[in-house]
Amino acid sequence: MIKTLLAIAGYFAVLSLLAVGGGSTVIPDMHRYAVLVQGWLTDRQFGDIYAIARTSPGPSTLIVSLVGLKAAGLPGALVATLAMCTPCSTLAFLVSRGRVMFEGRPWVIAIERGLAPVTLGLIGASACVITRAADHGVIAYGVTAATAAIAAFTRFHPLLVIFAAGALGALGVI
Amino acid sequence: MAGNSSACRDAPLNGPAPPSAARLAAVFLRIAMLSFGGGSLMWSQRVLVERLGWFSDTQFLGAISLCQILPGPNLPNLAIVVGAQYRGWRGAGAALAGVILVPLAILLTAGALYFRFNEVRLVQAVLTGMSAGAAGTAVAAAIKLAQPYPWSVKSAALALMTFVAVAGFEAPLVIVLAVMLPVSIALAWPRRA
Repeated sequence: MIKTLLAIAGYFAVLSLLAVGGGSTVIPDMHRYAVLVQGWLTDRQFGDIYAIARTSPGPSTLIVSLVGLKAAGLPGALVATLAMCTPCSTLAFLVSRGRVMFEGRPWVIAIERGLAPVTLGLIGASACVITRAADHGVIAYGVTAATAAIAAFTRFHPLLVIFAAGALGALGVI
Repeated sequence: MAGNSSACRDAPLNGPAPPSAARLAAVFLRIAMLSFGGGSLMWSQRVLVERLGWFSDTQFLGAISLCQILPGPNLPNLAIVVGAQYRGWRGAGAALAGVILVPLAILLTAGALYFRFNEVRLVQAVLTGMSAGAAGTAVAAAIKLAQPYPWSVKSAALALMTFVAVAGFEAPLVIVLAVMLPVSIALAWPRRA
């Protein structure tokens, strides 16, 4: 138990500082570690908790609490959330205090521009990893493609799209 | 820009008195609940700029781009930056608690129910559908971010290499970032005119 909690704390504390460009870029690594390395969750469960986190209020990074919950119960959930929040929040606090000193410097511009393509690659990878975890079968892939098109090119609220897909599931279509 | 941001650091734009820590927590809780299902940036802008007038549009853009450079989720980072600006570390902590605590309690309740009942056939069926749909919204997010980006051959190659390493080879993120970020940042270094 203590060993698991230490593993959770160590892993998410590092992941916190690797979350360049927002929370969704670390989803693939979380999947790799929690499903493939530690075996805390199955592929399907990972897809499911992603859907639960997406349809709950608050930052979707809070999915880490569900990974912790499955791995080590409530203590696991709290340790995972603290570990994921503390390092990046501390950094944000320190940087926001001193930001006037380095605004507009060449290296800041370089970081801002240089992060963009890597972040975009990671967000693409994130979509790909989640789709692979969630979808088993041609119809599920079809539903993902359809919901992607609806969410990207129409003004329907993403929550409605997810719940509609859930209704299709309840009807036994998928 | 520099003048603007130092003003924004020292004093709020319109507010006569800086908001208390409790007020910061309440405001960020409100933003977190409003951005249920996405759109946290849009809601932060509406609440902080349009409704409360704590920031001008330019100041808000500055704060947002800072949060996007910093590692970590954007909304909690914004809470830290805004909270710290008004009330130092107490304000940062209060705003962060506002963003996280209530949503965490809701999510943990949902998660506990899920792990208790995920063998039930109807729960499985609904979640099979919902997770396919949620994956679709992740794909849509990727499309929407990639579409307006001014792609060049260089940036497309960097994004593709990152994508293949992570999604194709399941390489650990630490390694991918250790290789890709220095290259990408070096290539993006502004040239002297």
